[in-house]
Amino acid sequence: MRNAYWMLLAGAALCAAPSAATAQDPAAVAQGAMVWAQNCTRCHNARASTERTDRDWFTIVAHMRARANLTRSQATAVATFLTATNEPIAAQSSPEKTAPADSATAAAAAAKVVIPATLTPEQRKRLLAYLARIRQP
Amino acid sequence: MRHTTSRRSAALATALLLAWLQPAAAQQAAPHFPGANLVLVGYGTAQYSALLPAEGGATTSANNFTASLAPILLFQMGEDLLFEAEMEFGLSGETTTTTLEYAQIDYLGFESVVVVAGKFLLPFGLFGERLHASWVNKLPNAPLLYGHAHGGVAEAALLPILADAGAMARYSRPMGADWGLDVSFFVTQGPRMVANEEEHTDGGAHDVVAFANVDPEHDGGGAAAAALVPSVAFGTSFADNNDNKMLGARVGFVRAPRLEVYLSGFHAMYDADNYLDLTGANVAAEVRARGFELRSEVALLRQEFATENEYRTSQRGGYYVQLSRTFGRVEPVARWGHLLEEEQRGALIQQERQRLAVGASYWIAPTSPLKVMYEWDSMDDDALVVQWAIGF
Repeated sequence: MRNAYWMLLAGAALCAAPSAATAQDPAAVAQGAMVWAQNCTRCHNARASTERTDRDWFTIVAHMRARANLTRSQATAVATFLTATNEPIAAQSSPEKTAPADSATAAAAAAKVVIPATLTPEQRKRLLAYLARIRQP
Repeated sequence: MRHTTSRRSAALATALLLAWLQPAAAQQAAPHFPGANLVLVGYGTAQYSALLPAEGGATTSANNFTASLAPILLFQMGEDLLFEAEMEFGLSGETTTTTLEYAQIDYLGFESVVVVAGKFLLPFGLFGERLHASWVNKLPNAPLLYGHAHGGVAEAALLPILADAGAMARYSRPMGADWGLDVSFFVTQGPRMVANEEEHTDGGAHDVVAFANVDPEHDGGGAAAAALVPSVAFGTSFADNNDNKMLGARVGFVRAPRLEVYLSGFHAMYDADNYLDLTGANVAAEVRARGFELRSEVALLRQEFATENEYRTSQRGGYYVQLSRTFGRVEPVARWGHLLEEEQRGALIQQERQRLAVGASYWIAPTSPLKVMYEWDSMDDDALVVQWAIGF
């Protein structure tokens, strides 16, 4: 009986934890990166996520959802990705000066996307692959 | 025993408290949209164009600087409601032109469907709805099918970029990892017949009239034949000229980001008496591979018209193909457009017209191309255009 109480307590605590769709959830960010890379660049160059605040990205993604025929889940994923990667790049030198280690990292720098530290190595690798694939002059 | 009971009570109380707090905690953590928000986006251009008279042509050279601004206002209320409107300001002749390109309310509360009401760009083909913004369009003007160019001069073509007032539902369904189906269905006010003197009532900066595309200087009898086919306006009058509404749809098959194929069409009666049909059809495709991007659209316009003693049908068509590739910041582009000749009983309804444009964009920033284009036109002067566009 005592175990049941503690299980109830643990269950309630889990419910109270942030949902799977939190802005920094690595899986959600990686999923958003995929949707973003596959859809936004069909019509135009990728915009730097650092261009806009969280609030602006939610509204702009809603605007683009209607234009690009995205589902609500896809739009949420894109907004999650953009708001997770729009922190100002702290004291970053220009990409030309930092001589990125590889083309994927260069793509991330060129797109001005901040790779969340919470990503696993595999998720980070996939995200960098998406960034390398997108149209980015 | 009392101690155990007390501990159980504390655990139960804590569990209930955490369960009660759950919505608020999740609300704080989830990336949901907070309240209301107003955002200004859009694009602008600065442009230089020079018309170069064809050899033996009657026209004189002309060169002009011009500019345009297209602010887009976005107002979001909660997660499910969005109002979006685009204005266009341009310079034309001695005036500044203003156009309300779209003003629509979107309901975003469904998973797969977006409901739209207001004046909106019609999902007919791809260029008009998705690609005409000057920082997105890879050349300074519109393809030959469409008679509208930001920062440029309105011109006769098969169709304008279509916008109209009404309601629309947009459905999307992902299929697997990268396949998707999207369907848009709309009902709008519809086109109306306009007298020739009504054409270009907006000053010419926003070409909303479908023309019988005949140049009388090139064909003596053509003008008379073209006069039989009335011009048709879309989205210019919000008092309907008849009881009929325009119905249209677009179905798209997408394998993002490599392949997109769209079939679209519309149908309406355009005269006051509900006798004359206007039907449009469009097939659009985009392919991306090895850094290349190929875009193409084929459009057909079928228009009934009345002569003194019979009803006749005009079928006008055309297509364009555009190929581009990025090399770092430079993106060369070539576009070929062709309007097909339409002749009826010896009278020219639409003269054949071909246009080849070659150019390149230098991407100063991901949303700011500096474009240079040279264009050969079988019915008009050659043109050199330099356009600097910026999206914000």
